[in-house]
Amino acid sequence: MIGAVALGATVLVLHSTKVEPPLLVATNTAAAATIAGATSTSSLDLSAYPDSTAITWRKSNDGVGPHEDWVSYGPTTNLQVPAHSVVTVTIKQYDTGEPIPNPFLAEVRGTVGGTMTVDGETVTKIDADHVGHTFTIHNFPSDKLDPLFVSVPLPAMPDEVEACSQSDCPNHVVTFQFVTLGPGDYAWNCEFPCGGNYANFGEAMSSYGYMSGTLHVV
Amino acid sequence: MSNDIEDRPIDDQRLTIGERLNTPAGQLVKKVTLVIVVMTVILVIFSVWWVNESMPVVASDTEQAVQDTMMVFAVASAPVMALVWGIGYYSLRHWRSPNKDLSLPPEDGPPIRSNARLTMTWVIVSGILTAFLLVWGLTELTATTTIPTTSSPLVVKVTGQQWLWSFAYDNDGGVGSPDLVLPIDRTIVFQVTSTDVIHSFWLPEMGVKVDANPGVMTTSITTPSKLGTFNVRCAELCGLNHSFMETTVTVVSADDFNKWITAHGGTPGQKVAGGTNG
Amino acid sequence: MAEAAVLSKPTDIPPGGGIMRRLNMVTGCVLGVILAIVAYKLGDYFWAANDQGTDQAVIAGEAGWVLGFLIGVGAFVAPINWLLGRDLTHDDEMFLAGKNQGIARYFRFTTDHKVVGVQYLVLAMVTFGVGGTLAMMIRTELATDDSEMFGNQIYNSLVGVHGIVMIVSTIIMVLGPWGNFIMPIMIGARDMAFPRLNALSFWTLFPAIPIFLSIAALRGIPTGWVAYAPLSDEAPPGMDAFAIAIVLFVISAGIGAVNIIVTGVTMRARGMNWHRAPIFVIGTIGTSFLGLVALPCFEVAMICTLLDRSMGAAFFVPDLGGSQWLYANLFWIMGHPEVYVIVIPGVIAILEIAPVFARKPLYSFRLAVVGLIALIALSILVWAHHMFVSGWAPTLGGPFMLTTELISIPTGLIFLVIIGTLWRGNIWMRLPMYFVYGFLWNFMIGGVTGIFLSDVPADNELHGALFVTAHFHYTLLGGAMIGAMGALAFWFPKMTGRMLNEKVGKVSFWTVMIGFNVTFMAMFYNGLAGMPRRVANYQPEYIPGNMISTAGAYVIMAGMLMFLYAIVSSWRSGDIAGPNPWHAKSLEWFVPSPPPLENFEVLPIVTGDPYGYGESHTKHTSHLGAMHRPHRSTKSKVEAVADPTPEVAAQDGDHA
Ligand SMILES: [Cu+2]
Ligand SMILES: [Cu+2]
Repeated sequence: MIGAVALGATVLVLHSTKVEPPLLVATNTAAAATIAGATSTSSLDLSAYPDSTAITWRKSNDGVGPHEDWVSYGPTTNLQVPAHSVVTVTIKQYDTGEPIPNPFLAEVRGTVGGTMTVDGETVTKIDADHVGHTFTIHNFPSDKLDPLFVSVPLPAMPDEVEACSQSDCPNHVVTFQFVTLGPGDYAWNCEFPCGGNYANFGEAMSSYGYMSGTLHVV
Repeated sequence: MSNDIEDRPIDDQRLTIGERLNTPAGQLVKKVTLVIVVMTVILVIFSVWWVNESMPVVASDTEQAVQDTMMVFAVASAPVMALVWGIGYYSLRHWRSPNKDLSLPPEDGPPIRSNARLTMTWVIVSGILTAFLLVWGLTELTATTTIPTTSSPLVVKVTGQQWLWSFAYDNDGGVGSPDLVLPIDRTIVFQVTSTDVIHSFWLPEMGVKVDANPGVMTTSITTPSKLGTFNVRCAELCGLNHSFMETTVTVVSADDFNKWITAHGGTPGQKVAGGTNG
Repeated sequence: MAEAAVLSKPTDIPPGGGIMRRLNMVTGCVLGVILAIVAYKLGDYFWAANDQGTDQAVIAGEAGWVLGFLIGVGAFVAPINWLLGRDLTHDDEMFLAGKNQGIARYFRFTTDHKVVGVQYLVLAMVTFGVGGTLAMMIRTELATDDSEMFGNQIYNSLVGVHGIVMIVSTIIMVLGPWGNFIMPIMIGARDMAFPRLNALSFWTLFPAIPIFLSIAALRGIPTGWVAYAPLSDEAPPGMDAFAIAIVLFVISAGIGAVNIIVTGVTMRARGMNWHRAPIFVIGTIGTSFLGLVALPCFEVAMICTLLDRSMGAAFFVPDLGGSQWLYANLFWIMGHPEVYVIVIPGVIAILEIAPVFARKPLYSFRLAVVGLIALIALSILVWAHHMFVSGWAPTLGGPFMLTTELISIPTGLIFLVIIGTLWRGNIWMRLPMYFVYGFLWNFMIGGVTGIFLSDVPADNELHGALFVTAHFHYTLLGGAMIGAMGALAFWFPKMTGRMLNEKVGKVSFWTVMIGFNVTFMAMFYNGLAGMPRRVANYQPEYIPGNMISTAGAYVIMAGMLMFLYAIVSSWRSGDIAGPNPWHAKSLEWFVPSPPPLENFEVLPIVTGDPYGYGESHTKHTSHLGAMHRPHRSTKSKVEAVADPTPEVAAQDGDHA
């Protein structure tokens, strides 16, 4: 009995420590879907910040160590979009960058037309030596989940710019569209090593909710 | 009951085998052997069913070798398991003390300290079994790691990174892809590497697994033998999103493969100097 | 309990002795926390400017805790006295040995080997409880195919901490309690060779437990218990805590191992040559030797990891000239022998139990010794089979397949010894014997599935899949754990003076066995079907197997809690056991239960091995003075039943 209670208590405590960023629901847009298979259109606005001070839902540091200087997607990484929808994503990119280890990820993949726009200009890839982040959805298809692979590189702000996270700070605006299929939960994360420690894949990259999140297709 | 049995050494040299089996000890051996044989049969049936039922579809010659090995080893180990369990079962069934009151031990059993012949037989038989396993394993190992001289293998560069696989066909115009497309019946050479931590490139339906190490290229070969879409997984814990590090491998005909390469901006057979990933 | 009575009795240790007699676990914790805070602040002060500042501060803080705890618990009392030129008096020594301190002696730096044994037993049970709770959380998460319960990040840490806590727990599970408590009595000694080292070994391990738990507050470990580099270089500060706890554990195990080896080799009673030593003693010495050889590799690997993480050394960082295979080799050179450090104690406990309850001599003692030695020797030479798919030296596949498959020969010998002992025995189905049969069942499955994994092509399919997880749970839980539970059932009367509740024990045995086989058979199935290890999200085809597995795990938990209930309730109010409830023949059964301080009034002289069941000419001992009783004649059953056994009578007297 005591053991069962102890187990239950521990489960509850740990369950409650699970970081669950607030949900950002895509807004339905009026435009009619022009792509076969899609029945609606919607849009999502995200930002990629050089530090997480702009993230308002994060009230305190989880765990030991400074977190304000961790890079982060905002306003949240927990996203919800409709099924069978043409989703237009706009990402404001405030961060500087470096060469990406795997140039494969400097190319645009899985978007409508295989393209994106950077500050209004349509491109299929960016300079692999100046990548800030990527936005990559990469779940495996199964009998429960339709295949969805989207990977978009975000160009880096020049090093001379002092990177900051306020909305009036200098930024690149990246837009792209992708088409959702059936409902399901997909994982997405940044594939450009921008955290700390070895390979720059620690800290923000390895802590859920900073450079990684969930895309709920409903 | 054990005390019915005359304490006569079973390896009595003066008796023929037929006579020996008719001694009380010999009859005991007969009974136990029967239990073991029955159990062996059950175990063989069970393990063959189990392996067939649980293992994935065979999509390459390597996986065929793996599943053959599983089957052969399961059958070979059945008699050994049956021997140990059979005697265990027999001891519980026939040699258990009938005393209702368990507070005192039953009387002592026969003081058998050892039996040289049994020990010798046991060591020799387990030695032979081990030798068989080893020879079988080495044969299969050679068969699954040798590139047939007659073929022109397709080289695919596999890059693991946290938490994504990407594939480059550097010998076919440098096509890059987040999922794997392979032609059927052609030897594939995977050149596997990683940009960060250790991953493990795993094709469950093709029996291929090799770690992706940072700074090193490891290789593995296989020949797909079945059309269809199968799994690609990461089999080495690699951090936060390790469990999402999966994609698919699609096996298509040679023609379809060439079409796919062309459709993705490549040229079949055209080498890319230096070979980037994209 | 007997201790309770003693506690209220006035002590006959003269007062005085100063601060040394006031130190205990509480002062240890207090000083530990103080030093931890001071050291953390210092680390923070020195390294705050550095972007890796947290790692250094955490390492300093954890080290401060360990040092403070050891000072506070009194680990350095004797050396400090020696330094000050004060020798400990006889009274001091007696105080250290825990004379007349009742329960309190279990919370002090007490040197009596029986106290250390009980401390280890309780610690092993606590760590097993922690590991088990983590296992239940893992299984709860895996009940569904998504990571709804805890999420990937917490799940990865759960897997790693469960792994390491269970490894530590199973390593100390038999060697700690019975290697310390029973083994010295078995060989006719009054204590271990180095009683203070014995206490130091336990109290070095103790502060490692809070450090393991602190991993949770330090953002966890993403690596699993193998702590593979370079993922460990990327990990949050939880990794530092992990590494420090391992270093502590290895130091503790090393001290304990040296002590057991020296005790076993040099302190055997007169007449106990190697042929007359119980197989448990030989196995304990062998296992300790193996641990002493293997475990330091883990310590080295962890120290290198700490240096990599905190000072920018690059032992395992490939792009700075290090090598991830260096780590993998160091780890597995420890890792494979370590499995045998876990399994062999379970095996030798089973070998010790089987003859007593089959009422027959151990079948071929020599074969058992040869089997154990061969297992120990071969286990050092097989580590690369864990690296078959790593890409490191593919040409070594053949040789390591050879050495690995050779292990099946000594393993087979051990099985032959067990079934040879059962053969035509008169099986006495008391609780410990259940675990012998449980062991035969589980360990056979564990062994056979190991053969699949030893084959390189098959391993290419199975490595990193749940098949491996199921396999080593069959050996470590199904083999070693079941062996340890058997040992507990067997020696519980000796340690506590009371019988373990057999009714509850048997029910819990069946519950654990059934739950265990359901859990891990389902896991074999999913593993063969291609489900990887250590994933919180999996494809829907694996849902049925995982549901069965999770259900089975809850059954195991129920069984384990029942066993815990049996232990606790029997410890408090079980039937009085008497010195020799099993009518066994080794030396520990010829002293009272529980044995008094210093065990023997008159040291025994050994004249034969302890397995002479059914033999009138083999006697294990003579010259046991008042403790010596003739063993019961094998033929006079009626007489024995009619006549209340002398053991029970004498024992009642002891406890009146
Ligand atoms: Cu990023
Ligand atoms: Cu991976």
